[in-house]
Amino acid sequence: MKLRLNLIGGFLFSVLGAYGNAQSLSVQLNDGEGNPISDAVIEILLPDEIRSEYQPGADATVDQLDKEFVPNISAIVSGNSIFFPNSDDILHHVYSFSPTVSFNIPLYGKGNSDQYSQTFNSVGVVEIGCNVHDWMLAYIYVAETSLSAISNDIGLAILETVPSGTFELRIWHSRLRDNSMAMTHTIEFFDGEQANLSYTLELKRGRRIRRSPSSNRTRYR
Amino acid sequence: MQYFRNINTTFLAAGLLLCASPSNANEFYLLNLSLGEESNVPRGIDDFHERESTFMRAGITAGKRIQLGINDSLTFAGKLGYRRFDELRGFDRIELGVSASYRYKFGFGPFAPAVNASVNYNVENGAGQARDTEAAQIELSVGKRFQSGFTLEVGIDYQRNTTNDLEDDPAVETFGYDPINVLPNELFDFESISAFFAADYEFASGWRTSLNYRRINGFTVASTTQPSLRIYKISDAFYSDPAFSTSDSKKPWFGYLLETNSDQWEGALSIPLSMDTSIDFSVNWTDISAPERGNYQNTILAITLIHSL
Repeated sequence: MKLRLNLIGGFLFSVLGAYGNAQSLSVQLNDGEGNPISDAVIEILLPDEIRSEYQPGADATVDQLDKEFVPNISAIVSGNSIFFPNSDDILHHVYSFSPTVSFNIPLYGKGNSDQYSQTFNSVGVVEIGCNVHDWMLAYIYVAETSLSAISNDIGLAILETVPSGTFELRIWHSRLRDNSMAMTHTIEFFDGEQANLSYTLELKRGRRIRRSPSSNRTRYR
Repeated sequence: MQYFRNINTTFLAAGLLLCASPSNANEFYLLNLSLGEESNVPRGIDDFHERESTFMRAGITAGKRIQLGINDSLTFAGKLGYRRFDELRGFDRIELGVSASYRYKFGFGPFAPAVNASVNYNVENGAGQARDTEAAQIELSVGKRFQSGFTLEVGIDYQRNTTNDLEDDPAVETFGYDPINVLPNELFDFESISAFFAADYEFASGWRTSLNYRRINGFTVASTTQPSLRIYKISDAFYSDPAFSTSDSKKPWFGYLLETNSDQWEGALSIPLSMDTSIDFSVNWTDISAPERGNYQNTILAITLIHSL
């Protein structure tokens, strides 16, 4: 089953259905020019009665390597934690002021410790930065269940075990024009079938703080 | 010999700063290479004395940034540079400098305003002692990056140039100027203050355009082949210009120090080639106003390659 939709904003339906055997879901994401979109997150939103079957997820790690967060986008289930080891020989300082959660892991050097971690109990998107290196930026998508996946370099996001029924599919990317979690569509999964979907997303131009050096202004006369 | 001593001291200071290695230090190394053209290298007052030259400048800067706390850092750096003027080799010079900068951010993140205070010490060694100089500078600035892509910065600085004592110039004495009112020989002995404004805009692509303005109240060393009592009377120092040899010109050149006010404008485009390399295109235009003498202009066009190791 393929759906081609031009997503500007979104609308929300909630339909309950019977829940059968697991199926798989493959979602292809492209931009308006047909280029694949990586680092997008898809999530199946489950009703309350079966949600707990797909919790909890697993903790994850966001490393700081060569003055960059690695990976740039992570997806975890609410209640899980992210560990922030520092693989550089310099100090980093991880922080977030996102509405979902605000936290601050002050200056720390190379190493890995439980104290360099944060638990995310609320669903939403968290933007993290480093107060020492302004260009460092990463996102943490906190999902309701483990039915979430991140699109790869060819724009493909795959979920191996999806219950049959009718659910909402949420799609998020850091450069969505409304940059919210309101990109949802109703999807119906049938027993034993693999669902193949594709969507075209309109993304705004990304803007990151530049890391490359530039020549200084003339200082001496 | 004193300059050798000064250069050695500078080297030693730079070496010590770079060797000090606290565990929270972030080392950095920058290489830069510029090719360009300067329209009025000797700061001549008229067409005859305005001499242009293409130039090459190479430099390396090495430093350490020490994160003191959540919001403040201290950066030490040493730099070595060489500038060569293809048509005016007498103006070639070696530059050696050290600096210390303190930065404080008022808040978290890339959009928090920051204040910077820095002290810089620079030694320039040229064709002759008359053009050798040391410059000590203190600068204070405030800046902020905006989410729209703009960065604004304003600041002020004070610079003190000094030079070695020079022996009396027999060429000047032969002009027979007032033996009572004898000007100092040292051309590069002066102080200046400046205020500057800088605005950058960064495109989503990473390209950055810059516009800088600096107002300088200070002094300028100009050169002429037509020394006169009038120039002598309005100058603060006077000496044979070692940048010009007898093979460069039939007439000898003389350097003279004037009190001036300058307006300096610079526009630049910086294009990132990679995470660690950029190429910059810049144009710098300076209008130097000297009371009782007139105006000097100088334009510098440059292409600079910068690489962070």
